[in-house]
Amino acid sequence: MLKNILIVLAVAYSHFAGAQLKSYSHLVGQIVNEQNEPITNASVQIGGYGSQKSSSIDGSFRFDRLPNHKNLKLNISILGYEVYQDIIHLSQDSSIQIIMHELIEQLDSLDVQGKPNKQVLAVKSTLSKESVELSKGKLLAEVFAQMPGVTILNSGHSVAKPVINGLHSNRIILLNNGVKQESQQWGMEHAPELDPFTANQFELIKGAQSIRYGADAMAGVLITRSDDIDPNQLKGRADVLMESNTRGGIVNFQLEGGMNLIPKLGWRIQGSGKKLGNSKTSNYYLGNTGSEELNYSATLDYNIDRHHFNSYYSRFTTQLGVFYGSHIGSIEDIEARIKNGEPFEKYDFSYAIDAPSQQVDHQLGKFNYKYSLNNAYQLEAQFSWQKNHRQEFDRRRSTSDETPMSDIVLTSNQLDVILQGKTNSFGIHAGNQINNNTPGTGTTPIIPNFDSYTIGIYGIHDINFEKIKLELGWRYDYKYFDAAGYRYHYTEESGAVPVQYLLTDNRTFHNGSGTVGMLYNFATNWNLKSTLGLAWRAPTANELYSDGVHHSAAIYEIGNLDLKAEKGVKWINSVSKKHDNWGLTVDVYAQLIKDYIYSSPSPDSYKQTIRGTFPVFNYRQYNALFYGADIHFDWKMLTRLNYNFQASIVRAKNISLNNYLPYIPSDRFINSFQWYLDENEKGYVKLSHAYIAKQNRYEPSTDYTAPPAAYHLFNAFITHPIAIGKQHFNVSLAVENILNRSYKDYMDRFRYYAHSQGRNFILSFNYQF
Amino acid sequence: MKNYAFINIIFASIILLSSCSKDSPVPEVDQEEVSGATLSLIEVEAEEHGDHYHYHDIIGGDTTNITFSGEGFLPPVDAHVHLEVGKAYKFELKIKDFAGRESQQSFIERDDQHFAFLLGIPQQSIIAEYADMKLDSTKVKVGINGYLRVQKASESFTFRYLMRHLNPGVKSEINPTTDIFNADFAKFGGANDLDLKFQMHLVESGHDEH
Repeated sequence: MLKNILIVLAVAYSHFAGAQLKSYSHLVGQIVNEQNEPITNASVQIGGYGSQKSSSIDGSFRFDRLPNHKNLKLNISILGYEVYQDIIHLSQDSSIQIIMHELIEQLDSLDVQGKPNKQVLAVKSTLSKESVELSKGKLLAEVFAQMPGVTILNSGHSVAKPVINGLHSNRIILLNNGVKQESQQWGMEHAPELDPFTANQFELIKGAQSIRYGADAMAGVLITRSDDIDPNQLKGRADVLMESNTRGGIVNFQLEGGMNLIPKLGWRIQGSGKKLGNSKTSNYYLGNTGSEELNYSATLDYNIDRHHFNSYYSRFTTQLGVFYGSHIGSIEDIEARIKNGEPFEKYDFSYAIDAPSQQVDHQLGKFNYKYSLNNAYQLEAQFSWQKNHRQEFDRRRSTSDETPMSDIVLTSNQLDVILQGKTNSFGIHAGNQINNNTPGTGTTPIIPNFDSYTIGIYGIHDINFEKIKLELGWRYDYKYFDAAGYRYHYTEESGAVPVQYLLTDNRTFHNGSGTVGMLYNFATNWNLKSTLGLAWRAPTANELYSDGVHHSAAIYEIGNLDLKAEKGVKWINSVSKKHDNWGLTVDVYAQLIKDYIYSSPSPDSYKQTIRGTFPVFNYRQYNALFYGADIHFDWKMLTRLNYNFQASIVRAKNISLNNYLPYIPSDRFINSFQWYLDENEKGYVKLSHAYIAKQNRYEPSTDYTAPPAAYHLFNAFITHPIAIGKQHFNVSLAVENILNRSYKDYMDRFRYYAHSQGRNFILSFNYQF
Repeated sequence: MKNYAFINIIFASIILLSSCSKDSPVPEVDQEEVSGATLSLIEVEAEEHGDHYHYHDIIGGDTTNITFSGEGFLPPVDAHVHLEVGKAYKFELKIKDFAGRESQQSFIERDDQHFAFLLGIPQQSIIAEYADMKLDSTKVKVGINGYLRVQKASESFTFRYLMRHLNPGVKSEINPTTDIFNADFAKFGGANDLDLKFQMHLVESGHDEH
């Protein structure tokens, strides 16, 4: 009894003395598993204080002389368990117990943010830190295009959409810091509205990923996310880039840290701006191709006990000029330009952005909450809101060019609730979209106003064998779509004007999806991943309701109210080998899509309008087959010399009609050599060569001209850290299209009118602190 | 901490997900579109003044109107215009928007972006000149109004009136006198605002209409 009283007095004294006098405390802890059994030999670190320690046989560890009233980052790791990270804040000697959760390996991330070390069964690629740094300042699609299997669909130099294994737009999902990006992706000339500076991790998941991410993920998922915030450390980065081709500049600034007032609260702010002038081919400027961007984002992150809160807001605003030469009247114009090989009208350099142009404002906000349950389950809820406001301007006659021809606001809300267990997980997704045309454009909108409501439920189940991991996923989605917009009735009566009528339409779509995934470790360092996934997507508003001239393509597009949902089965197999100084990954895939939707010309069907005669393109559905392979090979040839090879091959056919599909990327092969300038591998020189083959698989009747010739491009990049006093900078110089080659790419929709971009020097300064 | 956060997110989300709906669409009067056009050819008297002509109205002179309407904007089935050699004709184009309002002046007011090409005419059969005037009385060359002087007879041909909406800087490359009949119009970059076609026949005096 006396002993206990002494202990209480001692603790009370130490508490009093610590509060008044002590600057340091000690921390003792015990690490156990979910069955409350001690874990031995776990690695325990407290960032910046003391050396790494290992837990003893009873799972205990101890750190002495830890500073009071500071945020300390505790990191515990051991094989077979999820890494434990937490911020601790000491004011006295303390003891804690840590429960480690066994590592759950899943095909699809159950974590909305898709943390690293998850999705081990998925066929995926992750961009290296070096590649992320190298791609700073590029468009989002250009960042992802560094990975095998991703190509770009361009509408000129400033509009680029990512393409995964031949599919793009509403057939892929972009996950922006944990939120499915919802914008007006139905347009081939609508690039994703996301600032790559908001992320420093870029991941590609190939395969039909509809179980976790819902409908539309037919080809795969592109993921952008940021590193976790360390509230114990104030840090940031600043970037300045200047490029010669567009005589433009890009700046970015990012700062993050914590608050002593609220321990465990992390924050991050980021902003970037861009101003580019007319881009230049190898020998002429492209009029009205400048662009401007202003973007910013903010993050708050808070951990306490079993709760984790994360909120994020970003705003992306851009103004893009649309190349004057793409403003054409009819087939005669296209044919004349094709014959001429380059634009008739030549312009000087300018920063001015005139009509035709696009102006887009995309806002995204999310609130995410995670709660660790006692029984090793995690409950997660995330609500997100997005507002995409797109205005398109054209050269007008009856009113000012500053009055938009199209002014559409798309608002999206999403709720995800996920219960994540060790081997079984369940989720519910609910979302809505409201699409409204802003009145006053003086133009009947191409896309009607619409509401769209979706709900989906899913489950994912893991089965582990000795050398094989299996994952089974199921999902059911329901979508309600309600549209209303004005259309015209024409009459042949002389002098009569067309009569407007209100088109109203509502329809429902629903579908089940499934995934079977396998990881087989069949030999040392050899892995086989195989995923069979069923995904689907509902037809988009333009596919259903279009009725008018698509001027940039000089075609008359007619929607189809009879369209059904597309359904695709994708089987992707990936074999990978990791060796000491080389690595190889080969992905082979085949995707059968039932009721694949695309617009194709109606034979000998032309539409006479007062603006000329246009070929009629109808949206139709056929069965399609996509197949191909992506290869990635890395070889550390010498201590300082690396070699890298990537290849992407896609084949696509309309198997109903036995002909080729349009706008499928041709074969491409990229080689690069990277020479490190010192042993620390901080500075390096990289030379790369890309060979883009001619697309020989096309249908002459669906295009105005044969695909352009094959071409070679050479690029170079050098980067090196520079110390000025105690400050460290990185200076980099990139040269794109070193030989200033004049070329056209099949996947550039402006290839009818102009060549692609010529030589470009990019000088960049980066300061990280 | 009680786990109210989870419940709050769910309830707030449900409220937000169910509280939004689309706006009722508002009908737009399509300002850039053309619902129909009427081309009038009116016989006038041409009086030579050195290097140019003055034109005077003729009381009771021949007038031909061709109306283009309907979904295909086609002329009447039997539209066939005869112009006589040696005579001069004033042409006037009246354009209606989708509300039925005349909108031809809007082409003239933006003269830096518009120019009409007259195509299909046999060489040296017709001399044309444009005579447009902006609201502030500035004389410009667009091709909404003008004069045709018939020089020689020809077989029947398809006359094509093509109004181009030109890209910036292109109008200055057009010679409004010599480029009116330029069949290579596509090199003057832009879109087509009007593309009207009908049969024309240049005849000698006394030719019987049929």
